[in-house]
Amino acid sequence: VVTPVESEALGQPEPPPPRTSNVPAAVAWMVGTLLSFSLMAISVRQLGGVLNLFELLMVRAVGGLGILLIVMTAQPRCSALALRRPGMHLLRNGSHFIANLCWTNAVIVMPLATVFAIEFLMPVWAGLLAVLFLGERFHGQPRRIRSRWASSAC
Amino acid sequence: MGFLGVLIILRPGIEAFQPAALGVLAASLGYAVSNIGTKKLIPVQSTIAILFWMNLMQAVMALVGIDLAFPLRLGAHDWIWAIGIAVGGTAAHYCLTNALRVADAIVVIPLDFLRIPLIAFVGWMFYGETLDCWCSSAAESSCRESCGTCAPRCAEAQSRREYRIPTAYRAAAQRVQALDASVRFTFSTPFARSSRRGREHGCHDAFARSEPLRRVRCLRRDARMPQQAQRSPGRPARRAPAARTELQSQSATPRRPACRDRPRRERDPARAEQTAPLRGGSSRQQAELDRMVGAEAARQGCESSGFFLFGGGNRSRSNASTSTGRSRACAAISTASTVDLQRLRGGDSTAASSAAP
Repeated sequence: VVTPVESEALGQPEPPPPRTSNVPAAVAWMVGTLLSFSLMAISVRQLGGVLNLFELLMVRAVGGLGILLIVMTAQPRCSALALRRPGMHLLRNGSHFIANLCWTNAVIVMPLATVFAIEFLMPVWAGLLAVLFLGERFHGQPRRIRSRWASSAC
Repeated sequence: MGFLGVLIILRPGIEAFQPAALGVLAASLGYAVSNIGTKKLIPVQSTIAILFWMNLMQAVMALVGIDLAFPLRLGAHDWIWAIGIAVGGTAAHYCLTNALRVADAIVVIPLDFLRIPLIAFVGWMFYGETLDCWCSSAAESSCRESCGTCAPRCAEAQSRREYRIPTAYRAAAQRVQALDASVRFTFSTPFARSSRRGREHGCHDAFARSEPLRRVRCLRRDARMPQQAQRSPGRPARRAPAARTELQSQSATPRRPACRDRPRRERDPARAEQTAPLRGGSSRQQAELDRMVGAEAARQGCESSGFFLFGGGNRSRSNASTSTGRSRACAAISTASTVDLQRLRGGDSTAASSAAP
């Protein structure tokens, strides 16, 4: 439970999280998450023989754009697409793109479980970088993990 | 708890230090950087805007490496997987966000760690990737784990893939490959040798091509190819069954030291005595070829690369530059074996073709 004062102190002006955990709904969403990740890994591996890495990522980006456009036409109120802080966008998307290249390559050539296991080192990196660049400190861990994971979900 | 899972899968000694695995490590670093960026962007942009610009920018970035006609290469069933990539990539983030919205991270994160067993199951189910955690020897289990991974798939993928890397990437690719080769020789040599993966299919394997033994075998096979047409049909080619038997015996007992000379042993002691100097000569030449191949590999980096992206970039180049020395060595070996064969056939009763007038 995060009070508004605490969330401001954490630098999170996002709407406060719900008061209670809806565990069945969370389980349902997580089932969807896991199935989606598995679907993506299988699809990447199946197409690995046909397309190169850039083309795989192109498929993903264009497909994502299509899905987003559908969502935006369904909900026109959330279509404020003005680009603010383009440098930060570029840094974020560049690193994400390179990471996606490496990940896609690994999914094609390595055992899937190994890839996902190594990928789970990501929170360690994120913690280190957060300490280095965002000036965060190691306390209040569950809440910080939560915010980190919330941001990682985007 | 997450680290427990990571440690179970990445047991010490496993070949996790392949270049591709280092790539995943780099990928996790990249994801971390992008998460930091997301965190800084959340105050000023909506989630939809962040995702929109992400997809748009990444589509532009992907433009540098694609062939614009790539949709034409997709077969009818490939489109299912293309839709799978798009839907899976988007839905995964959407579902994870919603899960974090309806429940605390304390609930969500343990569920997210279920991703590893699930994907292990998927890998086992669809691709035969076995992963047994309680194997006594790490090297053996890594061997077993890697065997099932890509035996048919890599060969198929390598034969189907077309690499379309623009020339701007070539220099970077070569640099990466040199680094890649040094990394491989540092980290993975003992395990690459004990891995059976490379022995089960031909030269076109993403990982095991750096192994000198396999390279020599591939070269030998190349040398054999033109010879087989000329051989008499009555007597099978001499080197082909030897190589095949060697392959079988090694795949049956992978830890056994190389038994290269075993199948060549003659049953007849007189014949054995007669062929002893020949065998010495051919093994000397084989050693010379080994050395030459090793020197080539060291000089220009390994021919293979764990990175698919750069894998095809300079394969033709390295082939071109090695082809002179290699063809010379192969010619020496094949003429030597032909001469051996003819001299042996002199006293061979089954060699009807050479005895016929």
